[in-house]
Amino acid sequence: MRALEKRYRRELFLAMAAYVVVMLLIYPLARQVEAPFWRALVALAPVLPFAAALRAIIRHVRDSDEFQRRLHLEALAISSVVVSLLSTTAAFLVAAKVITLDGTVLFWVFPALAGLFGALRCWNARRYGRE
Amino acid sequence: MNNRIRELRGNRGWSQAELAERLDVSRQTINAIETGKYDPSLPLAFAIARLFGASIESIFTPDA
Repeated sequence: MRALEKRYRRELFLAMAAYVVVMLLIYPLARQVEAPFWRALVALAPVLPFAAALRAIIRHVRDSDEFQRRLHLEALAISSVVVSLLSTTAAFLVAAKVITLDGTVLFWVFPALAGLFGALRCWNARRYGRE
Repeated sequence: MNNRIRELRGNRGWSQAELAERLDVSRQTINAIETGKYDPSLPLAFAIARLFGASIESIFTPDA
């Protein structure tokens, strides 16, 4: 395995481990904190490890070779378009009061994007021959 | 585009992984280039030519 891949896995693992810890130990405190400033701070705590995970992904894409970058960006482009289409479709239905969704549905945008990206990236890897 | 990379690599007894390491790219990239699924950029083509001590046009040829 190339050093780049090792670095990516290490950085992503640490960021996601921190995210799980924050979500289990810190985020639940948000509803118990009275002061709006501190409540906002606690509620936004998961954003830090999340940003670290995104940094790992960006570094991985940026430092990949030209062919790998093409595969990443192809998968990212398609997954972005599909998730945009789905979210816009849902927004039209909510605006027309056909369905009811609350703000927490936004939590699903990133997992949908990441899941679709991963699936497309695997499909691309198979198309061009596994590493 | 056709290329002679598999042949040149074979002559030196290198695996795809070894060639990939020498060019600082992934093995999958070498595989995609060898099988004609991906045409490398000019800088990578130059790096390949330099590594094999040959000219770009002697390694890469346009499709007939």
